[in-house]
Amino acid sequence: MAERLVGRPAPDFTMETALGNGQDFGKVSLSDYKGKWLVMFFYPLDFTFVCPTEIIAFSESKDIFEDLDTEILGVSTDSKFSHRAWINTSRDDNGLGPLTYPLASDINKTVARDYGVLIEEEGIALRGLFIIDPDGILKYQVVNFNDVGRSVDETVRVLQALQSGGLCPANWKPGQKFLEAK
Amino acid sequence: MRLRSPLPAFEGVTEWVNGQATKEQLAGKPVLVHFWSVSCHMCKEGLPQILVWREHYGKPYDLQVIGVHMPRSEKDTDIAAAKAVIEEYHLEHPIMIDNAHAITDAFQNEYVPSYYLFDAEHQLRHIQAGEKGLKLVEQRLQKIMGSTNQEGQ
Repeated sequence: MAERLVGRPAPDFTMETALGNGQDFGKVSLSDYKGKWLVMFFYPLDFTFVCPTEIIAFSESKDIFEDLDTEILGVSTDSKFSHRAWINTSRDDNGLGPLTYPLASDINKTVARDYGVLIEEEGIALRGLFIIDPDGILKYQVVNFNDVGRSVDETVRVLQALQSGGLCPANWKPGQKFLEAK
Repeated sequence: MRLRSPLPAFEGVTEWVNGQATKEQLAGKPVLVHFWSVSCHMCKEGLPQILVWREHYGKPYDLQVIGVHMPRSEKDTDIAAAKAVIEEYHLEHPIMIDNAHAITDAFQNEYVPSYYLFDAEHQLRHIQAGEKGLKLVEQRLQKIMGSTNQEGQ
């Protein structure tokens, strides 16, 4: 029986990361993102199966996400060393080049499993994208199997909608009496 | 309304409350325009925050706050009701009663609450709708204010 994730506190995590500068390692936990929005996306494997385009696209849209008070985190079941090597591979050679956000290593596969995106028999993650709000509540998920890239524009659209909260639309227009009375 | 669009003219206003703002007065100053409606409960929840911003950004950055009361129904066009809310929430900045939707249409505004932030050159730099947007407006304020003032934050 699959458990529902959306609308509940996001599963907790702590992972080692390779920073976007291609040099340093770090550590991230869900609690680090308290008070901010988080877009966390999973991908199968460094170097293979993945077209780096979407990972780079998120990196290049840093300013947009910054304006939306949103952090980005990429996750796969590779080691942090593999992540770092991929960041240090040039884009001409199907590498990532420097990124504006870290890549986390879910090497023991618990995070992918908790988020329901682990392909158990292969030990790699499906392409899943999750949006977690500043209170740690999972607000949105999209998961797919085949090679469908995730769109930055669509992610931004969803984020903006999630961040708007209540909207009262004006679906009424003034009658003639107001248009005449100047 | 697209980002970087110029601040629309305040034409076709039904009535100004708390005095009239003119483009001349606002020249060279950043402007925050907020839309609200008496019938919108969430809008009222955000009004105290606007007072805080005026306090916080008014002096150091010369931020000018302008309100637009956008009626969402015939009932909302009762000017006395809008004035009662303005008084209740101690709003002291100029507010346009937009019973003809002239300003609403000029901004192509569809929702309340909504916030439009213009820099000192009166270019639109941020639009935010909805009650949850308050924190983001604040962030953009800081960013834009910082860039229009050498002292920064």
